[in-house]
Amino acid sequence: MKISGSVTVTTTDPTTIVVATGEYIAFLKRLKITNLAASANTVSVIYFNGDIPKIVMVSVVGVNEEKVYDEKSLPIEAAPTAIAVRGTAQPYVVDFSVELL
Amino acid sequence: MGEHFFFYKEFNPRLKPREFIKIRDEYYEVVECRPAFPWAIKITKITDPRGHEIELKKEDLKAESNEVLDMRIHIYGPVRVLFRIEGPSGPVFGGWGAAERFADEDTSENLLENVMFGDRIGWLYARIYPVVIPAWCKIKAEGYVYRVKRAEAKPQTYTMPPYMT
Repeated sequence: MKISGSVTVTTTDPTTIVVATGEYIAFLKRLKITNLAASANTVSVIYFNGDIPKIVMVSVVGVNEEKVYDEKSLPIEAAPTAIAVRGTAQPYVVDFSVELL
Repeated sequence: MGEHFFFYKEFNPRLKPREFIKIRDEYYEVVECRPAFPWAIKITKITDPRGHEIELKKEDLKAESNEVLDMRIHIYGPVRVLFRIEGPSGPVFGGWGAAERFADEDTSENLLENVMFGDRIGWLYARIYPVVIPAWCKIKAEGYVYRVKRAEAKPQTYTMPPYMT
């Protein structure tokens, strides 16, 4: 099944955007990062395997810039437990589409 | 047409009601055929390179005592899985060519088919080896359930795998 959402992140701590419960695993299919901070923002996408984090992607987004990633430029692997983001500046908005399998 | 164009055969029920099968030298008549409730399990944080052992029967991949379960299995995740077909007296040799089979994410579902009777004959045991550490694994099984009842000896219309007959 496919789900999508939007999260406004106002912290530089890791922020969970999707949790795959039960036997589900999550494939990130589309990601848009909009930087609203006053400085450039380096946003990491983190996949959690249980409580073990793994940075799978890093995106540098300029001031008032947005970056869109489609399926071909996102990680091909699945996130077994959760997907989180962490930026070096805040606030920023993350729009995402995820397929749960 | 997907990735299985050349050798793919759709997974249809192998048995119809009023057909007969032989299990451990006893004949059974198929009473009912229905899709099995999909089964799946997810294991995270697999770190032991010697493998993570799991008895799939204890995770509810089993049939009722009067049912035959025919399932195709698919694996997700950076792991290799050694499946072993088990019976009442430990490993049973036979099956679809071998009693043990390595499989991973790329193994086609039609190469990972297993038939089990109740929770006694043909149940599966898996040993999951991580390819990267930490690894994770999801195992999914879908197929058909055949409710059977014991019958008089009749010609069988479908050859069960050797570990069943």
